[in-house]
Amino acid sequence: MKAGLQKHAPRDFLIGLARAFGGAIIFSLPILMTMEMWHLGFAMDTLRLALLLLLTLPLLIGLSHYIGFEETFGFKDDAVDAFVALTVGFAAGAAALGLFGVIGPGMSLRETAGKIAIQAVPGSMGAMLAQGQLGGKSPNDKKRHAGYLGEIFIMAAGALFLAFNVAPTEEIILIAYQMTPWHTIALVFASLGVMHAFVYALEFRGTVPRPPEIPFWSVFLRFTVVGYAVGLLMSFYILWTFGRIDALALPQILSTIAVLGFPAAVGAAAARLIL
Amino acid sequence: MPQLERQKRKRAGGTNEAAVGTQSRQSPSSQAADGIPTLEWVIGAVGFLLVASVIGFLVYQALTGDRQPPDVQLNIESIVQTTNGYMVHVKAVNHGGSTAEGVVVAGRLLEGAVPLERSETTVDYLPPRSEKKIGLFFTRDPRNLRLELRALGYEAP
Repeated sequence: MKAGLQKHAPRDFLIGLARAFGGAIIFSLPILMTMEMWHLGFAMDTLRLALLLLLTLPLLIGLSHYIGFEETFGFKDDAVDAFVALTVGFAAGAAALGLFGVIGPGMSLRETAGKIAIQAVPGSMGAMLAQGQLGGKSPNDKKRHAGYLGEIFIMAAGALFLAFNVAPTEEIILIAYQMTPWHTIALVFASLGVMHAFVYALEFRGTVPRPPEIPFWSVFLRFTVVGYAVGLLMSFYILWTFGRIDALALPQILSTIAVLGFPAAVGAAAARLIL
Repeated sequence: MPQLERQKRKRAGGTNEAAVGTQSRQSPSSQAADGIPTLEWVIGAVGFLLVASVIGFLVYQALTGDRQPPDVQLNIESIVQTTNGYMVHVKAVNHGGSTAEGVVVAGRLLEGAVPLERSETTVDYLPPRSEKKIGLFFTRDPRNLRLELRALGYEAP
């Protein structure tokens, strides 16, 4: 087994870095080409953007612990990898936005930095995931055993990622306003059903079989309901970060969260299968 | 091996990976009779409460919430001088029970009964019981004239 960043051959590290760059592009491409995301980069609250970047670090450290582009040993390694992923996320975002002409001369530093920084969040997650999904070895070889809290963390990361991808779009708000309260209630139950089916029923690779002695409701409560609750909290955080629920009344906030909670639930379930 | 099973054994048998797969069936105090740690039940209960209260609130809204048409109220927040004239900050509040889309807000400056200037802007979405801040530009100082604000119309989303 290899131990630590410093003992790697430089070539391995460069390949890992290039792979991380590829992962950053793949995972953040939809959002790199979303107009609302560019606007958010300069229009959103600066402190909320700073908080988002700050919270991305523990997220990346956790992701590095469970997967990641290098086999890591200990917190220091995970922290170093988190910063590498963040750097790759910034670089990939800057390169892509530069190519698209979204950033360029004549724009203020605030505008340029904001546009790149907000892309660095999904980009760095993609960089981190690159090894897990695109790495040379089978991800299962390196899958670290996640306990219950680890599973919750993985679901949170998956929910955050998918919710982040759709939250900036106008459609989330529009869908929430088009739906009646009954639509929203149906969507909540559909999200729970889809989530449970994804992990336990559809027999995807990575499906978790339910031990026969543990009743359905026990697994449903401890994993699906908790995962959905985490998804709702992530949706709330993302919507608040993007300033999409400011000055809204509680019923509208809840229905918007429920709309974003659907992709969040799917993301949480998929993350349990993939990571 | 099923993941849940592995997890249980890991918790029951010790804290490191070496314990995974062993058949030990110890019962530390933090574990309920069915082998599921208390922590998982506590988090499960919190998650259940959160989801149940969201559903409960939505059902309550569905049963009691009003679907009255939008009722837009416009209030002048402040008037500031800008490079090309003046800007009037307006707060638009929807007191009705449904969302108004594409609300056109118009402001008119009058001297006595003579209209001098007109500005308008559009609010994308104005949800019920919610507010939006808007700005209207004028070349003359609205503080010395009469300013009329009006919502012209909207579309149901």
